[in-house]
Amino acid sequence: MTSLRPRRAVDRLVAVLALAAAGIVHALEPADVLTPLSRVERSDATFEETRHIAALTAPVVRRGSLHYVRPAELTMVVDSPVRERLRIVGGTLTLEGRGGTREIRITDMPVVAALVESIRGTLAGDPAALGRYFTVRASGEAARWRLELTPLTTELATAVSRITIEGADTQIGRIDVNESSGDRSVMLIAPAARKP
Amino acid sequence: MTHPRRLGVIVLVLTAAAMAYVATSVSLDSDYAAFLPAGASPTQRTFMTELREGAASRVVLIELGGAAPADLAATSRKLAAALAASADFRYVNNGESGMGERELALIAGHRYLLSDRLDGPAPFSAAALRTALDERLEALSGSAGMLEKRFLANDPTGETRRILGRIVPAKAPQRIEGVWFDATATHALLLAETRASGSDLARQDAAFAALAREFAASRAAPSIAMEFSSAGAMAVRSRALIASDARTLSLASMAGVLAILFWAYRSLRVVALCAIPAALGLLGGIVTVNLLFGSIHGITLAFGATLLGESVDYPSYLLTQVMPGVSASEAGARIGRTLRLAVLTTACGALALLFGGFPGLAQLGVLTITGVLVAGAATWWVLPSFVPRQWSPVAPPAWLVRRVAAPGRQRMSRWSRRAIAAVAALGAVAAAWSKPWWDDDLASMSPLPASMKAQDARLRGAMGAPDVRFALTIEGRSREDVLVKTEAIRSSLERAVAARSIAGFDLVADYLPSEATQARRRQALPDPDVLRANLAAAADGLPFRLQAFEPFVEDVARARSAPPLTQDAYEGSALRLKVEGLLHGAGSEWQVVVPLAGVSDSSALERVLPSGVHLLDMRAEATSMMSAYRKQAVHSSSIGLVLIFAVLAFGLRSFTGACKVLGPILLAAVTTGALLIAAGEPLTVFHYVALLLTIGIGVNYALVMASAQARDDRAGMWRTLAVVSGTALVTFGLLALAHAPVLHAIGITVCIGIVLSLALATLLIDAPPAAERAG
Repeated sequence: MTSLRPRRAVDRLVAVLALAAAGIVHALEPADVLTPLSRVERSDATFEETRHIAALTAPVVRRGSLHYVRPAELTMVVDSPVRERLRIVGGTLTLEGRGGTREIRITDMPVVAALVESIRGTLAGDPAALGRYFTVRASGEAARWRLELTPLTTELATAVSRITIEGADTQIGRIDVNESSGDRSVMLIAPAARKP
Repeated sequence: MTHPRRLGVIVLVLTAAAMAYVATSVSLDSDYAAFLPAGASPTQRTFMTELREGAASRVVLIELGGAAPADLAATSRKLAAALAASADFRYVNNGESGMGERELALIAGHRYLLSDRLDGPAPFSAAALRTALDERLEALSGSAGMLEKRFLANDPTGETRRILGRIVPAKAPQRIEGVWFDATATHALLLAETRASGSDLARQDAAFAALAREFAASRAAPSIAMEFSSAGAMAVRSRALIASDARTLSLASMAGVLAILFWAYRSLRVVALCAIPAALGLLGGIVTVNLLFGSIHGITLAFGATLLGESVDYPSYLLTQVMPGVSASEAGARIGRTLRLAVLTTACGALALLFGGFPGLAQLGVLTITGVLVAGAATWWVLPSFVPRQWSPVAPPAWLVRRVAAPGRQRMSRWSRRAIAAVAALGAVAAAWSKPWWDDDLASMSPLPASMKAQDARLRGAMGAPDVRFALTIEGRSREDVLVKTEAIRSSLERAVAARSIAGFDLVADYLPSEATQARRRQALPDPDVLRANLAAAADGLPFRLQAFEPFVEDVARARSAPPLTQDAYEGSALRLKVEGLLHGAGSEWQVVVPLAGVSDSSALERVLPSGVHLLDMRAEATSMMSAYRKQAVHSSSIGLVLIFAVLAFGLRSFTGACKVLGPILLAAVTTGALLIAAGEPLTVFHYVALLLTIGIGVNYALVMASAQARDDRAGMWRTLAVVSGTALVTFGLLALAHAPVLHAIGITVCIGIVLSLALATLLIDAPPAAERAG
């Protein structure tokens, strides 16, 4: 790849010049989205997730809040339809629900680990965390960006076909998970006041 | 006497025939069951066989360290792939698939035969299905919804999850980069199973060589190092350890022995002659054992070769008596009675081993008896013809003769000699009295150094496979019988868990239910139309699309006519290893082992167990087997001592003569044992066998002394004793330096025993004749 760099730089220069001439900025790179995110220490948001499941005649809608604290702590509090608290610190996921508390190591379950990293890695602005499971493509512009995550391994690809994350600057607005089975879920995210 | 040349040809032909037989027909076996008493319980028998041959003996734990996790994980993957393709390994797991896809598919595929929910009333009624669908709906709305969906269409009643919840081990290594790592994340872990059983050391060795080869080829960075441990690996290493000890020490002792013999005989030919009787004896012994038993046990060979150690001395008894004017034949005639008695006492001592009820000990007896008879015969008939005419051994240095043989050294009275001997023996026994006498712990028999055992324990801990100490055993007449009995104790065990007397258990019937249970569960499956109708009634008012459950209806229909689940279905998966580890047997003897975790109250558990189920404390079991072996050996050898006494009394035509010969030697053996115990070395079977050898050698010394005293030939006596005790001390003294506990025990015991035998025999036998004392 190193040998291609000068040429790519030349290409990019040509493109920038051409686009600048047309009054448009250069194409968005994943780093352009993630670097600003990597400066956010913590974020709090509310979410509404709609799951479209083939076996069900109506979608399942879940509401709750999301809390991220740098570097690796993500908490998801679900208020409805079933109260749950999902907390991921480092490699450990703790799920508190009606059935009690369960603790799993996410590294034991690649699909879970990939789903966790798609959100946490994006919030952390960590290209390496995303790159471990996905190829990442960016599009749009800084004020309205879009990251497309495609699974790297076939094991992951049998569960998830694509994850799309949209946002504006350092705020994630929407996550679409397309499962290989055809089921999909849409999570809409809005900034919220920090919870005590 | 026969013409030497013709005799030589006969001996050569017989030897060649015996060697050809050994090379072609002798089979060496290493089944420990041979060393169990004939009356051992079936539990002990299977336990021992399982220990040596079973699934557990084939498992190898492998650890990779010395590089970054990414490199270790890459090496782990390559190594696992290479081992999976290797002919030496049957199974390998590095955590890549964990409780993996293969195992999951097998469990899901047989879920309607494995799930105990089907034992309940009407498991597929509309009401039961409604409960299941309610649960599924809630789960789909939960955070684990995506994982939940995987089983929804085929398994809405959640059987797979239920089975997994019951059988998945609580502890497994963590995974980093997709493969198993230890808790500190510095070592990648793999588990492999060799094809060869743990006792097939040659093939185990080949498998470990293949492992080392594949590791070298898979290594992602040169800094990566591999460690591995297994029952087989420990056995192979202990064999290597003993072999390397034996090689160095036998070279050194051979040099020492040759030096002494050469110093005494000054003739290469004569020194070479000394090796012949012992070699022929061992050869004859092996051939006889193999003819009688069909094979010879490795332990018989090792112990037998030790017991035959005394036959190395036979030629010296003869050769040291050759002098100018006394030819080899005349010397033979002079020592004839001593040699005959030396051979017969050893043979009679070993005779008792034949009737102990241990096939292993009986083999040892046959080997020893044949060996000493052949060696004695060779010394008596063959040796004299080959000793060069005019040859005689060098005279011992004058100072030695002066010191030991001068009449002036016999000033002490007979009674003060007896007093010294008694005080020495009683002192040693008193010092030993309060210490533990016997060490029956199987672990202390292991020839491995502590560091190797510690490494094994560490690897087991990291893998979450600790040594199981407590287990239940259930016996049955057939596989089905024993599985039915196993299923019957589940409720007792669940109560014990609830009462906290145990933390958990592992039932083979959870993986392999009895045919009866399988048939009952199969009968509980409704036909497709009934199931569809019940499902429709159950889903009424719920947001489920009924067509989505068509795979479930099809799976149930298929399960209704599926063949029974057998052990073979698990081939190539971790489940086979599991089932083979917990269920074994053949013909009409079957046994199930139920490992128990966290046993806090074994007596409470024993009270609730139904009859026919035994609580096995592995450590206690192994120890009781060792002590049974040891007790039988002690018992047999006491009878042996009576026989030796009878032979001596008959041979010497004197009751007091027999007492005089045997007494000091018995006292020496007791004192030796007491000294070892007093020094904090409780006796194992190895020490005991060594004490028997000491008695065999000591009696010979005493016979030499008694016969020399009768002839009043003290110089000749010391010439003989200097050579034979010198060679024995060099051999066994070096053995005492060995690292392997077995060799060390034999060496130190025989060394002390010989010194004490000589000392006590000198004190008690070589006393001044009554007339001299009077004068």
